Amino acid sequence: MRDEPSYKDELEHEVSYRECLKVLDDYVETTKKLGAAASINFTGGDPLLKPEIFDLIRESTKRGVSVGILGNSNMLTPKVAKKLKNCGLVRYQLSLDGLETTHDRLRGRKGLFKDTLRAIRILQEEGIRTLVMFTLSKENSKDLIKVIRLVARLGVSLFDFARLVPVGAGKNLKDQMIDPYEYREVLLQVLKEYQRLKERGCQTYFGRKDHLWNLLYKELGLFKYPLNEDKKLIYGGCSIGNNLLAILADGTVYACRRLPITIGKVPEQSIRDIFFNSPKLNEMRKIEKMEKCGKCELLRFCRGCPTVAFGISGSYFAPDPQCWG
Amino acid sequence: MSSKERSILEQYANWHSPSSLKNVDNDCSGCGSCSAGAGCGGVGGGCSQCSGCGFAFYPGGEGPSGARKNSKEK
Repeated sequence: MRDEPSYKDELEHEVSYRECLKVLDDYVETTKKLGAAASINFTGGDPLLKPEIFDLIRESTKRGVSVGILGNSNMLTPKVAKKLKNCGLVRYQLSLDGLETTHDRLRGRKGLFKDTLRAIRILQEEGIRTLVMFTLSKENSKDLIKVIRLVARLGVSLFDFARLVPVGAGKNLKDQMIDPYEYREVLLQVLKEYQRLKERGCQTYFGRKDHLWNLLYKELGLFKYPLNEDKKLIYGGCSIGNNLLAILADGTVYACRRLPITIGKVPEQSIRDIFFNSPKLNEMRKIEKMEKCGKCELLRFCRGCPTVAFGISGSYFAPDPQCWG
Repeated sequence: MSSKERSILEQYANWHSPSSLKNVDNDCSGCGSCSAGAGCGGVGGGCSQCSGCGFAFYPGGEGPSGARKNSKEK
């Protein structure tokens, strides 16, 4: 389902539709037994390139799974959107990495910005929740506030941004990563803008996906600890080992889609077996080993992004290079 | 559930009340109690609508995605 050249090998050994259904049934059964909510995001590249995507969405929805797509605008027509809606799709995420010039340059295709805006309108008309994600780097940070204002004007359901992760296609872009204190300044500006838009009654939900928001909120006196806090519990922060698995097209399982460390393989292994018994995943759960976060007061709420740390140093326990704390 | 599995899940606050888990996107009332830390801290313990996905634990007390929209509709 991915369209980048680096995923060629993965695609050559793509899990068949029948195997996908087997994995789906295994996932649904596991979440039911554990009493957890079942939620799947199909991603790529472009998940719409997979011929059976509509069947997969329908089958997932039929089994009570909340289904989303993290994709792009390439194949999204009104007809496709209607079909997706009829299959039960509830959310569709698109990327906007800047205004027109920046976005088209970063994504390598002229016209893509306009296509993305068109796709947002199509999804809105069909009643599918629109999510817009901005991948933040030095190259587009100047556009972030402008894009926030744009998505607010367009009335997208949710906007959030993620830091550039220097793995996979981004591994040669380390010099594009924003410095820690500069990043803190970006967060402050964004917070101010979110608050301004909120005061104006903006309906877009502005996410705080980056766990470093917790650090900023702590510094600003805005962080709220849970009532009756249990000092041993992990309350938030990075989802690795908690409530997330990523399955690649060939069945390889990662703890996070941005962390290229294989922790299992489906359908050969069950989801439950991988989730509880993968030695690599259980090692990742040892958060007290985190070199910097392990000593931080926000350890059980934040932990930055271990994948960014991995991309820079090769260790997910290394300090998040963009944490200023 | 084996004791090993239980001990893994019990590290995480959102797995403490799994029977109450629902889907944030569809069911959140937008009451804001989750990420405001009023009871559950956004981790599935205090609100029957919370999925416990961790997505809800945005700082600032705004609740999870879709919250504001849903609350207005209600």
